[in-house]
Amino acid sequence: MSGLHVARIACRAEPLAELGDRIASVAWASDGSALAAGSLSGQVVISDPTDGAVIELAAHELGALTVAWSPDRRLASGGQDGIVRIVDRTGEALAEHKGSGWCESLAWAPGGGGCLGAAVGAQVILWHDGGQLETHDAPSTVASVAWSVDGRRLGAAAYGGILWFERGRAAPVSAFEWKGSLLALSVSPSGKLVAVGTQEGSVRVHRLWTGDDLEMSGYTGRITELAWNSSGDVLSVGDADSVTSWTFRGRGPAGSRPDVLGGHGGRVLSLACAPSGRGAERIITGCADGRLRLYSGTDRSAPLAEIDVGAAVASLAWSPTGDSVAFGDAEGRLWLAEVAP
Amino acid sequence: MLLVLAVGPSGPSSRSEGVLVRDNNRSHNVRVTDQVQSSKVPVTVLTGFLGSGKTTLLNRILNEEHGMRIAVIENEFGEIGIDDALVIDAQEEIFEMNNGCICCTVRGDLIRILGNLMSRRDRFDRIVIETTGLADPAPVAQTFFVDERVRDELDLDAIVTLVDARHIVWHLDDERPEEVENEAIEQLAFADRIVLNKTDLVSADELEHVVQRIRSINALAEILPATYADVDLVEILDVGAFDLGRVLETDPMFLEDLDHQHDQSVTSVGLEIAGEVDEGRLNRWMSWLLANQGVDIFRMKGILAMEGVSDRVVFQGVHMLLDVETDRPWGAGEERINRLVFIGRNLDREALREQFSSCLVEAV
Repeated sequence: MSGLHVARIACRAEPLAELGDRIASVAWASDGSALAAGSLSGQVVISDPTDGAVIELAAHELGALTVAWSPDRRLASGGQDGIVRIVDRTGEALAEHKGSGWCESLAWAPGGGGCLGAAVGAQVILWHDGGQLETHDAPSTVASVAWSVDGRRLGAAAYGGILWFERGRAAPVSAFEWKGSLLALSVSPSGKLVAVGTQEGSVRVHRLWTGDDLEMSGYTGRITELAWNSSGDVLSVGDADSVTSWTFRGRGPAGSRPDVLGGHGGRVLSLACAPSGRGAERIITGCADGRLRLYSGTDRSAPLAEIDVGAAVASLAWSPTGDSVAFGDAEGRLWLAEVAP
Repeated sequence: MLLVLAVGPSGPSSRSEGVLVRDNNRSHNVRVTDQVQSSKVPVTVLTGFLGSGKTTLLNRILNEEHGMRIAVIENEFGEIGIDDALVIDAQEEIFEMNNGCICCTVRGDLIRILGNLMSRRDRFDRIVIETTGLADPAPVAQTFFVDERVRDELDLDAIVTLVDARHIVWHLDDERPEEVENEAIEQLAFADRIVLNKTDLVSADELEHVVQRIRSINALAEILPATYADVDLVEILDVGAFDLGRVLETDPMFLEDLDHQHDQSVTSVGLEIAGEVDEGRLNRWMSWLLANQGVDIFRMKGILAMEGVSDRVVFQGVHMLLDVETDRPWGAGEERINRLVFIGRNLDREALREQFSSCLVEAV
């Protein structure tokens, strides 16, 4: 660990946990009292950021791919075994569902209600609080799911478009069709827009619910890293060796040029915008060059601070208060860093 | 409403060493690679009909003492991890990219699984992709050209097709309605190595007939006779068939002597023409050929003597996707002869010869 701006990011000297292989997913509980990580080794852990206590959960054979906390602090995990598992804050198993294919994406409905949306192979699952399970077939493997801000609709990105599901409705209630492979779905916190990264190096943005769309193309490879700022009017996109931020204020981004977050020495593997509050325009990126970088809300031509982790930074998440970041690397280490506002 | 915005960072990948097809306006089809030998993980594609002996061969690959960590992607096993190996189940998903252009048809399931394998800390030494007898080999091969990450981190080593010596002719003669592909023919046409299995079940005459029949479709692939899939693994792994340095290691001279069939059937056409190639003319012809006949050309390989270039220029392709690079220098006493092989449908040898000849410098 080194860097000129140590004061801006202070990483703990020892990892919170070691999971054996690349950490595919990191998530904070809504109150910041716990974080969770899943690894391609199959291991899933809950870690307490204050005392460092680690709870090891049942593994997902051949790889854990995603973890997600519910608003009331239940943890869902999904993996290559096709299993979606829900545990409580102490790691006690609550429920389990096995589907066919990998589970690559999970999302809890915002607010109350406790509905978990999951992508398992070519199926979309809506799992109600009481245990009732709805399964919906998609035309191909679902790469990503995300809820509308009001928690009414779950979007599912697959080859052929975005399908929107509502609880209790057998068929999709809406579809944004696109002949191409869609990989990563992200709904803006404003609730007005949804962005999706494509296999073909473009980002498509749809207005909810008119379906009006626009496309940012010309990226070098497939787009899997997308993040909205907390007010939902700036979209950041991770690419081969940079992050571009598009502003959706006024008439933008049509005809505008994006802000480029410079200084990356490899593919951007993860990125996240700070939560609302002080320093809300900060962005953290994790890169294949083994560095974690912090960018301010103003001059983004170079990072405000960076730390050398020594292994590709594969996944990361801001704490709910925005004063720390948990991140996982390609060697399976889960780290915690304090970040200045 | 669809707005296309210009984005800052990039365009299509740069083509620094562009010797062939430099100004091709169908630029997404052509990739000019640097001659960097890398530590990419080799991938073998194993195709063949049910009953051809694929599972037997796969088990041999997994079990023979080689000390390698192998990942197998296939359709039937279910997902299991065994000693030093991982078997992952794949459901074939065909994705059309770039508005349905056939050259950009790829396997979405493979992109996902290969990406996952390459993300792991413990890399595999080798990956084997087994496809069913009904799978089209083109999207599998094209995945290695089209997806950036797969292209950068993996090397398609060879397409190995297993055939059952006793039943293959029956499969090849299987009458299909028009527009329906005969998968057995496609799998032979795409192959770099053909394991002719179960030779003990046919007579010497029948075997000869089968070999002739296979040769008429694919004159470039090496045919390896076997019983119980007992082929030497060295012959099918680390073949380097997609390695431009090894393009046309097999002397295609004999191709000129092949019986010429001028019809719908899948054949091989080999050309051997002395002379210096004019870059501009070649580019124009190649662009035209790929645009007009790319669908029919399954595989294409060649070595070219470009005017003013001291190195051999080698290329190989699948449908409309082409890899081009400079190879070693032409030897001092070596005759600068262009060698090209096409495997596909509706190939007209004389037309190809004439068109290529018109790309030569002296052919004004």
